[in-house]
Amino acid sequence: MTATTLMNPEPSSAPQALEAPEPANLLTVEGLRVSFPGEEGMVDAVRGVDFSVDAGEIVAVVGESGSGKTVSALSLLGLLPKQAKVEMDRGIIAGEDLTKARESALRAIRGRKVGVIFQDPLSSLNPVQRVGHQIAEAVTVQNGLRRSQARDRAVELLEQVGIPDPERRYRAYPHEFSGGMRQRAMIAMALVSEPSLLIADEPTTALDVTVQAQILDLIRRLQQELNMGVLLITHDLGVVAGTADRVVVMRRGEVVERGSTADILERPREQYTKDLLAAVPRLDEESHQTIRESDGGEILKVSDLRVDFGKVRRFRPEKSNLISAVNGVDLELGKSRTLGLVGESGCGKTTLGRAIIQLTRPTDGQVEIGGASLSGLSDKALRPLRTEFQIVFQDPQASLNPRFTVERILAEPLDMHDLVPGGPAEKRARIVELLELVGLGREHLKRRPHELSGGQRQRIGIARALAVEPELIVLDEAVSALDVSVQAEVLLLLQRLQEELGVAYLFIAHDLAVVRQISDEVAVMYLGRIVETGPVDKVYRAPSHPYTAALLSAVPVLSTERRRERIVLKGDPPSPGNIPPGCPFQNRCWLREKLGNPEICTTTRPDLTPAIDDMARSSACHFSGDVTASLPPESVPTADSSGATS
Amino acid sequence: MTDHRERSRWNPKEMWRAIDRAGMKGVTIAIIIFIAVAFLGPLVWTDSPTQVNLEDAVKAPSLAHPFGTDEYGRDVLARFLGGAKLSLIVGVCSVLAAALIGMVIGSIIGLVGGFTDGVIGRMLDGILAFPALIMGMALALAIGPGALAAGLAVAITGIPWYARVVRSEVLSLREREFIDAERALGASRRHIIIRHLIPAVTGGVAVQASLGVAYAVLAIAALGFIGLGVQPPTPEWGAMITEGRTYLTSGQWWMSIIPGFGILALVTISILFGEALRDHLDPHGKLHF
Repeated sequence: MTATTLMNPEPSSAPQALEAPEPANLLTVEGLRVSFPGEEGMVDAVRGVDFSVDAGEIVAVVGESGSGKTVSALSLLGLLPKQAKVEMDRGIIAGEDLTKARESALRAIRGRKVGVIFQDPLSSLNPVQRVGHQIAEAVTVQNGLRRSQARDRAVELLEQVGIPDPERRYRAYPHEFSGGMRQRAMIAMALVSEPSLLIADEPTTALDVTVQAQILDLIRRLQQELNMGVLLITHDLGVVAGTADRVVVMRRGEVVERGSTADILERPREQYTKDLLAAVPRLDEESHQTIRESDGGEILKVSDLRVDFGKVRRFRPEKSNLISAVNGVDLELGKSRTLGLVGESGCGKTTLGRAIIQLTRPTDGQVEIGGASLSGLSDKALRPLRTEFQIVFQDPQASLNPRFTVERILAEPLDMHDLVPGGPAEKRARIVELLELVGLGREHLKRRPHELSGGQRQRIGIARALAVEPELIVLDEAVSALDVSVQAEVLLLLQRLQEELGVAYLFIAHDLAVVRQISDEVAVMYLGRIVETGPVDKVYRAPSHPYTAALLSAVPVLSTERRRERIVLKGDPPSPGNIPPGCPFQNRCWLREKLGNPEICTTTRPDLTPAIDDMARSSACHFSGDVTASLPPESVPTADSSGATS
Repeated sequence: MTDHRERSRWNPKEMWRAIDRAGMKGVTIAIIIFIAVAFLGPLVWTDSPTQVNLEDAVKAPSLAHPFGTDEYGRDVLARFLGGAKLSLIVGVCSVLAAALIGMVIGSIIGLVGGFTDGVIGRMLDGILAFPALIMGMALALAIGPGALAAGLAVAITGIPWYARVVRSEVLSLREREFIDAERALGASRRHIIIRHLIPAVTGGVAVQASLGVAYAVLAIAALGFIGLGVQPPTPEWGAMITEGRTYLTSGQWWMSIIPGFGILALVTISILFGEALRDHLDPHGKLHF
C-alpha cells in the first residue's frame, strides 16, 4: 500500500513536494466567477474562487450540492451551457491561458492535456458502440495512429485500468459492463492522450463502497505511475480522506477553507467545515442510538420470502431468464425498533423492502405485519391494512407528485382512509399537525415540491407516510440522496419520531455508517440472501461473515492518521441470474483464499445459523468463527480499533 | 381542492398575462377573432346562407355581396360564415371526443399492461389503418352522410393517436415513485388514473389535440368535397369548393377560393396554436430548432 502512504502524508513528516524538484503547475485559477441567467437577472453560481493543482498531487474540491464545485470545474473546460457567463482574473491550464482561449483552443486543451471523468459512466459512453472501439477511436483522433496500432493501444489502456481479460472485453458493449468496469473504461478513455491533469467529477458517487474502494485505488495508482495532477470533485469527505493531498472546501460559490487534507479533517478552522465533518456519520465513533430493550411483540415477521423475476421456459430452458432477487429471506423486527438492511446495489434489498409492503408481490413465503398475514391477499383486501405499514423512498423529488401542493399530497392518505372526521377545517388542522411533526409548518401548505429543498421534500415524504399512523415504515435509502448536513437532520428527525410515536423502521441503505447510527439490529444482504444478522454494535465490532468485514473495511474513514490495510474485494458481485453452487460469495471471498480454498465453500451452501456463543447473531459462513481472527489488523474501522473505549 | 378553485378563478387580466408569458399572444388573438367571426358574424351579416335567388346567380363581389354569390344566387359571405361555424364546431367536438376517449383507453392499457394492453393495442392499430376519409365514406354509407358521420369518422380514427401518446406517457409515469407511494397508501387504480395520471398527461394531449383540429377540419372538408360530408343546402367549406369548382376555369374564382381560404386559415391557426403550446410546455424542445 505504498500509494496510501504517499497520498496520506503524516502531519509531522515533510511534504513530498519539498524533496522533489519544483513540481510543474498544471492548473491555476484566480477569481473565477460563473453566473447563469435566472428568472430575475443573473444568478451567481461561483463567486470568486481560486485554486491550483501541481503535477503529482491530488486536490479535492469538496462541497454540498449547490456549492458550485462542479460548475467551477466544468467552466474551466468550457463544458457549461452557452447561457453561462464565465469570468476569471487569471486562468492557466496546462500552460494555456484560459482568459484568451477560444472555444477551439479549449477543445484542444480538453482532449490533449486534460482528461475528464464524470459521475455517470453509462451516459458518457455510446451505448451502441463497443467499448474498445470508442477508446480506439479516441486514440486515432488524438494520436493519429493507424487502426491496428490504435487497437493495441486501447487494449493496453484497458489493461492499465485493471479490466480483466482486456482482449475480450475490448469487444464488449457498455451495457455488458458493470458500473465499476464502466468507470474504469471512462478512465481509460481519459488517459488516451496521456494527460498531465485529470479532472474527476464525483467519480465514485454512483458506485458501491467495495467498488468505490477499487476505483479510488486505481486513480491513486495511475496518478503515481503517470505523475499526473488530479482535481477531484466530490461531496464525500470520506473519499477525500484517503485520497487527496490538499482540500478546498466550497459553499455557495465561495471557498470556505483550504489546506492540507490532514489540517482540514483534523484541525478545521471554519465553523462550516466543522459542521460538515460533524454531520458525517462515522464508523469509528460510538453510535448515539440508545439501546432500547424490545418491549416484546413483533411488528414484522418474514419467513422464507422469495421474489423471482423473469420466467422459466420449460420447453426452451436456454431461454429461461429467471432471477431470484430475493432468495429465501427470514427477518424479524420488534415493535418500535429499527432493523438496518445493508447491501450493495443489486443485492435485492430494495426488492425485499417492496415485497414486504406488497408493492412487489412475493413469489413465495410469508409476510406478517402486526400479526396479520399479508400473503395471498388481493389488492382490494390489502387496502385497509395499508395503514399499518408505509414506505419512504430514496428520491423525494420523484416520490411526490410535482403538480400537487403539499396540502394536497398530505390530504390524499387522509381522504383515502377517511381518517379525519369532520370538515375541511379539521382536515387542514391535521395536515398542519403532520407538517409540524416533521419540522415544517403552515407556511409550506401551498408550496409545490419544486419549491422545496431536498430535505424538505423528504420530510413531506415522511409526513405522508406518518399520516396513516403506521406501525412500520420501510425507509428505502431514504437519506442517501441528501447532502450530509441535511442527512444528519433527517436521521435525527427519524429517531425523534420513533421515540414519540413508537413506529418501527426497516432501514434499507448502502451506507454502513448511516445504518449504524440509526439501527438497533442489522442484516447484511448479498445476492438475495441475508448473510449476517445481529445487534448493530456487535456485528460492526466483530463481523462474523467475510462479506460484512469487507464492506466495513471498504468504508472510507474521515481521518488521515490511521492508515489501515483494506480488504479490497475483487471484481463485482455475480449476477443474481447466475449464482455459483456452494457459497454465493466464494468468488470474491478473501477468507476462503486465506484458509487455502477449502472445498466446502464450493460444494455446500451455508445456511444462516445462530452463533454458538450468541443466539442473537447469525451468519451464513462455514467459517464464521474464523472471520474476526483472520482480519488484517485495523482493517475494520470500529470504535474499538480506534482505541476508544466502549 | 381549495387550491384548484383558487387557480381557476376567472381573472382575465391574470390569464392574459400568463398567455403573454407563454409567448402565445398572437395566436390567441387569431383564435378569438376566428371564433368571433364564426359565431358573431351571422348576427352582423344577416343574409340567409340558404336563400336561393336565381336572378343573382354567379355575381362577382360587390357591396351587396362582398364575397359574391354562387350558382343559386346564395350569398357567399353568409355561406362562408356558416361554414366557419360548422367546421369549428364539428372539428373541435370530434377532436375533443377522440382525445377524451383516447386518454381513458391509453391510461387503462398503460397502467394495466399485459394481455389487456396487447389486445386493445392491436385493435387500436387496426383502427389506425383506416384514414379518416375512408372511415367517413364507410360511415356515410352506414348512417347516411352528414355532420354526424363526418364528426364520428374523425373522432374514431383519432382515438388511437391519443391512446398511444397517453399509453407511453403512463408507462413512464407508472415507474415514478409517487405512483408507488400512492399504491402503498392504498389508492385504487381508478384513483391513480383520475387524480394523478390524467392531469399529468393533459398537457401533451392538448398539444396533440390542437394539431388534431387541423387534420379534422381538412378531413371534414375533404368529405364535403367528395359529397359524403355535410349535405347541401347546409353551408360547408368542402362542399362549397366542389360547387364552385366548375366556375374556376371561367374566372368566377370567389365561389371556391373564399371557402378554401377559410380552411387554410383555420388549419394554420390550429397548427400555430399547437406548436406554441408545445413550445411552452416543453421549452427544451425549443432549443433544437
